[in-house]
Amino acid sequence: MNMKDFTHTVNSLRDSLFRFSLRIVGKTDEAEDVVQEVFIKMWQKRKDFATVINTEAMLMRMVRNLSIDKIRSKHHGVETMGATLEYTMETPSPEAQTEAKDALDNIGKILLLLPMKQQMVFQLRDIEQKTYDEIVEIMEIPMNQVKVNLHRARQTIRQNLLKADAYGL
Amino acid sequence: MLMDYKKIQILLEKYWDGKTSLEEEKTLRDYFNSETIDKNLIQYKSLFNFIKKEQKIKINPSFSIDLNKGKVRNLSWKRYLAVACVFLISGFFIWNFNAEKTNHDIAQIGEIENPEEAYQIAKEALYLVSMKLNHGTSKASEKINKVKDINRFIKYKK
Repeated sequence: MNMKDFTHTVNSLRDSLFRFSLRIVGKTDEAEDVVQEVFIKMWQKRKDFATVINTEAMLMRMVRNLSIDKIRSKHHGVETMGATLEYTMETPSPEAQTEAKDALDNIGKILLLLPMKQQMVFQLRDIEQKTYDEIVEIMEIPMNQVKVNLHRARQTIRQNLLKADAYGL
Repeated sequence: MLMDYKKIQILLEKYWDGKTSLEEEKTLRDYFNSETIDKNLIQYKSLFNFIKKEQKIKINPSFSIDLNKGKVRNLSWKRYLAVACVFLISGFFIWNFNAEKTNHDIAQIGEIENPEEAYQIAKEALYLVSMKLNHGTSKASEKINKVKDINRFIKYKK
């Protein structure tokens, strides 16, 4: 890989790598740091990259690992992000209505309530439009887990959209 | 319009179950980002609007790769070398000091006839060695911490 190929890779993949990191770390500057670091590593190991079949999937995987390291080192608490958004079936309080409206206004808030693995799979499939095989490679989990995580993420989003709709919000 | 609704409803069911193809998912995105959405499906509009909006997120246009940043990593072998040197030097001093002290004590003590007394002297000598070793270890640890601080400083400056 020469500098021209490297620059081409950077220009074509930097946005998707940035979005994926941003989904995990949640902060623009930290996501930019991750992308920067991943490309530097790629340049340093450019000889090894010559044999990589799917460069994008490899870089995405590196982004995932570095982003997770970043949030772990800052004690962001990845494991605590697994709660689901629950609305009471009775007449909602004004606060609950505001919450539901917020969630409807911003699907991103519902996504934040999903476990990190579900968020990542959702991001890769629905935002980045990756194939299941690519997601397996990036996430380093079996195909059935990819499908289960995507299914659960979409079901949670659907349930929350239906609940918000039931309140006429 | 009716056909659209039925087709989209079927696609949506497949979507929620995670069984749609990438092409079918594109059909859903296009439908929900159009002007003609069936009122029975309007509650899902925000999701597909969100997806479309997220796909447009771009990294800061001024973002560039600073390949010189990677050079910081080349210092790592120097760090290891520095730590190894500290260990070697500290080890040498501890060994040298203890050897000297032991020789000195043996010369002073000479031969001891009473086993009780010999036991007490041996105990004291071992205690002394242990104390000096501990002292040496803490000195080495201090030096390692200093090297770490220097490395942090070097990294920060880079």
